[in-house]
Amino acid sequence: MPVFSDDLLYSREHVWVRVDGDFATIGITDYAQEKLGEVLSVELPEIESEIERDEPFGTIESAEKSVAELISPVSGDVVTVNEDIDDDVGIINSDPQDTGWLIVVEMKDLDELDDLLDAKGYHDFVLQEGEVD
Amino acid sequence: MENWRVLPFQIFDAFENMATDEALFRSLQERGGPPTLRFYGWEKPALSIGYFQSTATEINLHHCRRDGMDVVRRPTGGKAVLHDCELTYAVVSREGSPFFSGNLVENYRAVCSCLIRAFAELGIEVTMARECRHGEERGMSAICFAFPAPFELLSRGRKICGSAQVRSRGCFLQHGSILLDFDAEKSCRFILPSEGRQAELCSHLSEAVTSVRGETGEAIRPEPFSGIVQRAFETSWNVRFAAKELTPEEDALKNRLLETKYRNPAWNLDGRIQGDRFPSEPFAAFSDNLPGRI
Repeated sequence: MPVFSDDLLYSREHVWVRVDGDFATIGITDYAQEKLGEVLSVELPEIESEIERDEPFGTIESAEKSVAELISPVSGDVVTVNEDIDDDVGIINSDPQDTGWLIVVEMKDLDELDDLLDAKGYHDFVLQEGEVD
Repeated sequence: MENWRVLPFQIFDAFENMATDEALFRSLQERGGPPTLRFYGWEKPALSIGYFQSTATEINLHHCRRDGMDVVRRPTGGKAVLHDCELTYAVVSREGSPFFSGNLVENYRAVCSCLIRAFAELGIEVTMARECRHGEERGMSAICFAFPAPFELLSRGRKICGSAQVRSRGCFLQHGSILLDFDAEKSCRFILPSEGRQAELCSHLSEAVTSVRGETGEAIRPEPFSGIVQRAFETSWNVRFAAKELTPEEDALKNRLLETKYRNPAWNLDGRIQGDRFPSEPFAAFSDNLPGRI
């Protein structure tokens, strides 16, 4: 049963956001990591690169030989990338909504957050996909 | 009855094959349209490598150059495939359609059940693998066919078809190689390390991989087999296929992908375009320039 943390916002592309002022920490949801299976490789943007909402900002390969593009929920500049993933990519599976975070972005437009879902909204959204109780 | 598009069997070089698959995938994301089944072959033997594979540590580029072997990086995951005597298929669809959920293994299963029916037409009993891929040791795991993923197709326990996916924005591309014949020695010639352990790898592949010819003793050409596979999809899913070509927009996108990505050694060898660490970024520009973007 995936975890839907109340302190996060969620995109319909299965990415979570933790907001701290103008900064957004971003990762994949627990639901997404369950769907993906064992994560083998991750590709993330460089620090200081610019990412745009609704555009890919990275990729993940799982053991099922599937590459999934990560779609950004916000626009902004990447200020931090989680270097712990280089040492242990497994934290994306084991702790996707905390230590398995991916990047921190300095947001350009905080209004973009209005399109994101709260925990209940995201839970209802994935219910429609028919894979959680 | 759902309508599908089929792009009948055609032969292209390695770069155009990958550019076409990606153009179909991107176009469906941006413009919608029916799901597509595509069949293709390769002008000459070529090596495709997985999205995340390292040519520096896994591929013997010296042997590839010496033998005039094209090396192309796929948009999908998985490991290296020598495309030689095979029929290659691609399925491009939205998730959440009647046949595909958001679950990637279930999507593999849906496609592979059709392929199993096609193999049965040739008298080959094929099942889906249940165990995960092992052999992470370099040089053994660098070849796609060395170890089956859980959903992949086996005949008498030996892999006969390997597939891989890329997913984005609710759509997926799955393409795969159906082996019509297989030469283990040729397959491992292009994999590192080539010295010392090549005999071990070759021996393993000989045991772990089979082909239509290996199972039936008879050769079949890819084009007639593509007809059998198409009928298997029609029967399994009760869908109607309309044979078509690429749309002008898809063709334009394919040509741009060819020019900027798939004929670009920076992508094929290093997984980078225009110096970006993250190579998919240029597609945002492609997408923005497509007419009718939603």
